[in-house]
Amino acid sequence: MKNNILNIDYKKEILDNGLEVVLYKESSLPLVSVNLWYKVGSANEKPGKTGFAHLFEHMMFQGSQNIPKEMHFKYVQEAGGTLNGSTSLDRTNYYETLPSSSLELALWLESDRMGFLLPSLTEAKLKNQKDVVMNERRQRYDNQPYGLAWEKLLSNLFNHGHPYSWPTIGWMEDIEKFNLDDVKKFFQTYYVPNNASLVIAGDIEYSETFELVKKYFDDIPRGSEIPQIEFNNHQLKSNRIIEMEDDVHLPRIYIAWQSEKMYQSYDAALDVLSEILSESKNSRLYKTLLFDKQIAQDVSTFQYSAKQTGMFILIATAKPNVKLEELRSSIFSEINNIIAKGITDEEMMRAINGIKSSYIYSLQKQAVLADQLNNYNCNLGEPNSFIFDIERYESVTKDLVCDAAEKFLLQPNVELRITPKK
Amino acid sequence: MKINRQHKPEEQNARFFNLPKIEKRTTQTGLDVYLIENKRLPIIKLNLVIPAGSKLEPLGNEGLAYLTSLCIDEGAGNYNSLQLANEIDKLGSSIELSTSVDHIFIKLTSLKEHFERTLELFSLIVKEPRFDENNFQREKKKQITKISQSFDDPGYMAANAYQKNVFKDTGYATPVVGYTNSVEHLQSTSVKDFYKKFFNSAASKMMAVGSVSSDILVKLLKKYLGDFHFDKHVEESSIEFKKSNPTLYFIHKDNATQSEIVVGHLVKERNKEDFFAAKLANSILGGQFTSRINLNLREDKGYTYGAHSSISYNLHSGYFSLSTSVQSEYTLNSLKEITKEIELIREDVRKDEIDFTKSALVKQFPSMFETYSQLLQRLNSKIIFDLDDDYYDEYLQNIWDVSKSEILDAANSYFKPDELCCFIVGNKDLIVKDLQKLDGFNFIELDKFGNVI
Repeated sequence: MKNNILNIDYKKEILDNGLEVVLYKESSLPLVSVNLWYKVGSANEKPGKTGFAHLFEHMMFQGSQNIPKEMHFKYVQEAGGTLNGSTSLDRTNYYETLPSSSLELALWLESDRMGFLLPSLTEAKLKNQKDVVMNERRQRYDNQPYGLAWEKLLSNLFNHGHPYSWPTIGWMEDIEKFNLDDVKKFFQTYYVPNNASLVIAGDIEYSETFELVKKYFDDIPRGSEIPQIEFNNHQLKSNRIIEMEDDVHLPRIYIAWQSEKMYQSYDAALDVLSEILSESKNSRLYKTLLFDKQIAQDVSTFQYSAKQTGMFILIATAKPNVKLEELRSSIFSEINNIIAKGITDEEMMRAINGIKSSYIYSLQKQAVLADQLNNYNCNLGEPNSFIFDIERYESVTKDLVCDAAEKFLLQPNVELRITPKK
Repeated sequence: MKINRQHKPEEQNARFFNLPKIEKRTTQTGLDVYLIENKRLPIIKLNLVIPAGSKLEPLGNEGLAYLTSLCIDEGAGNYNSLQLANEIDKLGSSIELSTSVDHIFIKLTSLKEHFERTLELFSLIVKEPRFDENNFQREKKKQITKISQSFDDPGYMAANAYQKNVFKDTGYATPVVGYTNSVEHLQSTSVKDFYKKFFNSAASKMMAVGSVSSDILVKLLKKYLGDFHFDKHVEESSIEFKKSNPTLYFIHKDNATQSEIVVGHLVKERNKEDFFAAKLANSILGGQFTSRINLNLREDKGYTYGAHSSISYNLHSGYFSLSTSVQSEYTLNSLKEITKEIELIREDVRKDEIDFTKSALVKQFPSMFETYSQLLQRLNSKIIFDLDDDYYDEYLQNIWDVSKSEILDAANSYFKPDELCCFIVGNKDLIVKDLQKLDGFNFIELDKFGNVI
């Protein structure tokens, strides 16, 4: 198969312990990206014990049996690499990009923390990272303007006990209560090779790299079966309005609907709808709210599709002295307009070209490409899904976009109104 | 296969890395064009850098450069604002404006197949902006609202106070977005005049990266920008900078759950002599995750999610800043640790720290040239700071060559306790009594806009 940016050659193997391994050779720079997904996110947590998956994004950098605290960072940096991790509802990823001459270093570090983290996990380390996480929470949410909006929205859009109803970082009172036994149990359950997928992309040789992966990962034992997430999803029966005050200048409205899961029939259509609603100066909401009526300072929408369900979110900030009610009614009249009268060919063209080019731009970065391969591998079972993904958008029709708007945006929603403190 | 996990694996031989070649051409209208041709992806990026930054604004017109950048793509040639945006969006291209204290940047990103049409639209924006009154009024209101909204964010408040007080009485002290009352007074004629005065500047430069050869690029620039002359010589008055005294500036914020801390002072402008020594000194102090300040405040004490320092440069000055957000009750302790670390690095740096940092900086070099945006950034610094043509060829050797005593000298001239200004945004009731205990600093209270109360 000929390599091009959207149709790539790769090799995949599954080790005896269940670890999925995907390799992609692309040698234009002497760099390699190692990207490891654990299929555990905040959705795998339980009420009262939220924030574990994110906590591990911290604990995994605190050293493991053969790697002293702080040395994980030091080794990678000394080799000229960059590293990080991120946590979402459904997965946690850990990644580093380094000179290809240090690929083995990355595999040594990743395998040591997959197989041998617990022997070095101490009370002192946990206490330190609990403090860091609480400060992360303060910095990123509690002390940010509108910072608590996201968790307010999710905890109202989803019923109590729903795995998407709490914030990824966790509730503050749960973070304060983290204890070593629970933390260890969570690790033993989810951070096992049969719940992980490893992508290595960049300046590599296939057979040599498979050998290296086996050298470091083969002896890590398979874990138990991964517990299924069990929950009831109670759809909202009527609109829910929440009012909240914050230390801000301008009122802001958030509207959230439950929508389509990732990669299901209406997922791409909702992305296109979002472009048409708010992505450019000519988009419906931008033009009406910011250009013609000048009643909003900003407006944005997005389709956030995840494994269990999706959500469609709209955010608009009012100009000084404009009532949120006025914003709200303009927003819904635009949505109803789309449903009643449809959209134009030109709107479709702008939306789809916009989505396509930003997708292609994003693939310049090897680390992003590796993460995308892992996303496709974990969620679609086929790493080379770039063309499939683009074609999802190319096959969206005007009617499908209007159907999606009708099907999801006329359903009951959560409306959060944040207003300046008096 | 049984493996020994106790030892770090050996590094393999590093593969040779070819630096991208920079071509320089000058168009017949006097525009210097720098290109890195790279065909890895069918993408082209351009950046036109015009010396029309906020420092050039007449007194009382603060925010004018930024407002000019907001208005310039609101309609050009025969297209009104929405028509122009529509033409660009149909291609999936983007043309984005940004403003700094020294420059206005106009950046184009396009797929190769749409490059010529995007460049045509780009050139209309440069040559024939319409500055229609209705667009001007709308963008002006947007800017005013943006300014007042920015002060919701404690991080912005601290950074603004830093800029205002550290660069006091110079053109660099004004926030690029201006003040609500200065923007209020601006007229569309001010924007037109600013455009006329600066956009033809002979000191404008263009940088390009991507899937295009220099011949084609120059030919297209002739076709679309061939009647626009970059030939105007703009006089710049010199700026005088004043040394600061050790001062603690405090800004109260209701209900703050953390304190935002930014400390720093002016340093010399970017220069060949000790640039790399200062870079190493800063990396050790606060420029990397395993820096002294981050290991201390985050990994040891748990006061913060992170702490970071940098030495940054404008065209005519440099400035050192170290920033972090800490739990309110540890504000005083954090400040003590910060000043302690600044004192300590002036006294000694260890060999293992130097070796580690050199290794990190040298080995990460190829990854500085990965994406087209990064390539554009490399061109940017080379051109804005007029770096030598062999700057990147000599980069690695220059890092290896820095000695311990040069790093210590740099630490002493770039981190100065006797000029240190500390800006704290936090909850007065919780921390002010504590802060007044900090020895050796004048205590000054500021309002949220950074003005002395």
